[in-house]
Amino acid sequence: MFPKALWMKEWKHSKVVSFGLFVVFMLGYPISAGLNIDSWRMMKEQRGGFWEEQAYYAINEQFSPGFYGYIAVGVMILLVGFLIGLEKNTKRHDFMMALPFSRTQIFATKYAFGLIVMSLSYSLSFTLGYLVIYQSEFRDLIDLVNITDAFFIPLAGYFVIYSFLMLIGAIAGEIKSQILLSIIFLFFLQGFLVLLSMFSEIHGLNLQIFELDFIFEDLFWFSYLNIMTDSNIVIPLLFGIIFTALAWFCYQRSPSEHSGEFLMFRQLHPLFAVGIPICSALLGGLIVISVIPYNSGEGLKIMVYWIGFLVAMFFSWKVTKRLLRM
Amino acid sequence: MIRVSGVSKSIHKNRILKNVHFSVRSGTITGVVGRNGAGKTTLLRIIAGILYPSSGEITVNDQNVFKQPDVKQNVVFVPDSTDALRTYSIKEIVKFYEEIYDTFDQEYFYQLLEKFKFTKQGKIKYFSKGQKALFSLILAFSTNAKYVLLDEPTDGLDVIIKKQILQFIAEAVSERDVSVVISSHRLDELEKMADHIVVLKQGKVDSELEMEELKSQYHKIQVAFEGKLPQHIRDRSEVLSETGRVSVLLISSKDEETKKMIEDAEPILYEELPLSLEDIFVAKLGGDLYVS
Repeated sequence: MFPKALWMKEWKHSKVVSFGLFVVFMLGYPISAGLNIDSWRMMKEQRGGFWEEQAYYAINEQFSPGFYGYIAVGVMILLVGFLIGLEKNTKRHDFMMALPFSRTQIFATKYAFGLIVMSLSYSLSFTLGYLVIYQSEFRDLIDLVNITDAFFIPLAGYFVIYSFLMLIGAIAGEIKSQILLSIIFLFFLQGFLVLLSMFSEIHGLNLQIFELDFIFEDLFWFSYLNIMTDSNIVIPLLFGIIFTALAWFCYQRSPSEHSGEFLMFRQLHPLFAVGIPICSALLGGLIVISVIPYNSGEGLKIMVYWIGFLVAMFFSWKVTKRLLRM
Repeated sequence: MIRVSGVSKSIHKNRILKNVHFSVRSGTITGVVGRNGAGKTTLLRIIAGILYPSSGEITVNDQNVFKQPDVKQNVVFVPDSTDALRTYSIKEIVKFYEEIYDTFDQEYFYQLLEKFKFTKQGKIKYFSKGQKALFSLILAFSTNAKYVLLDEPTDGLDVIIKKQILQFIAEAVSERDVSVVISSHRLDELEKMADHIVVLKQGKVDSELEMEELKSQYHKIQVAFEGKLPQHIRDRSEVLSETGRVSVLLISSKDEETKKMIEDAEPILYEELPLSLEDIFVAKLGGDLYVS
């Protein structure tokens, strides 16, 4: 299932980015723990009362991926780009497909390589971060953290994000479109609903979109990178498995003749040809309306919104046409 | 045996290949010729298992390359560009190929590197274009695969390296139990080495020819007469060229009647010339295929 030659190949092409991911996790856990301990010590000495109030948040933030989690996702986008997209930009894709391996073996090796790099780097860094605190005078603070949740919930979050990125990688035709689509689709569902909600608000409708907690919390994968929210680990695990299966299916079926184009599947072109201009138009309307005074009349607001909407739709339609011709 | 059975392929709604059938026997060199855009590269990429055919089947030793990709241990594809290898060093690529191909012959590989005066270290990207092309052939033949697919192996190379490459292919085939499929639009290159020619025209197999058989089927003669080339001779032969009173004709080997007519017309010059593949294509396909 995992031929050694394929491991060698993935390692050769992705080792630098893999190391980058490891460094980000190290910065996020042991290194930041070491630096935070100094700050905590100073705070405890100089502002004891304030420290008592803040200790719970400080230790939970330490074990929450937070900012470094976002950076790690950025590096993961690059890693998946190196694993899948970069090959499609070069003759390496032909070279790979001509080797005596099945597409399932090729995909499984790529998938396992990235997953192992991500989970090992994360686990090692988390453990080292834990040990740094455990060795310090702030050892007692660890009792304020649910360590099992602090470890597994972000890991499940990274798992679902990684699987989703692999799915986008299997659909995209080359590395630039893969990176672009990865960034867009990580926020797409929530972003689209926000745009729709703005549209409804401007037109006097009340769609109650923000009350859809399942979409804005459970399906917003970045929420699993914050251990201070109440998260259900089953959802990212379930969706991670679904995305993995879809990614495998798409990789298996992707027609190699479209490698180097915007998308591997021409069947998706109509969806993108309509979807991109509509989303851009909604965004265009929102951007333009934000520049007019808040207390402007409703009629003016609607008119300005539609000007932004139509201008953005026109340009994005032009751009989309070019992209899909790529 | 590689068997291409009823393969069709459409890309971007264009039918690139239409119901292609042919087979490659063991120990032979098969030339796939056709104009640019005839579908040669697409055909090789399908045989190598890179592209799925829209319909039809490719089998190697009766095993489907898509359903049993293991069979590609016996098939090595050498594309017209060596970009995929450029980041590897020689040592890395040897290790990599040893892992992929069970039959990779490291000794033979290094012997060939020495023969062609390659360094045994360093990155492939530092080789010249010709060296890269030769290196990828050395690598392919060192796998001991039964079938080597070469896509325009001499395209864009200078005469000296081209000669070296063609000679290397011919030697490798004669020394080792290997079949080669070469796609090219250069008939002059293929005629020296190919046993079997598959002519692709607008995505279809226009004709399949055996070289030995083919060369014995025609005679190429240069003739000159006191006056113009007699009309009855012109009608019965293929006129390859005419310069002044000198004509170059192609006639069937079996056509004794035309030969007799030429003798009876008492030519002032009669000379038999060596036959080239290009002459035959001109005769058979009306020159439609030839691309210089």
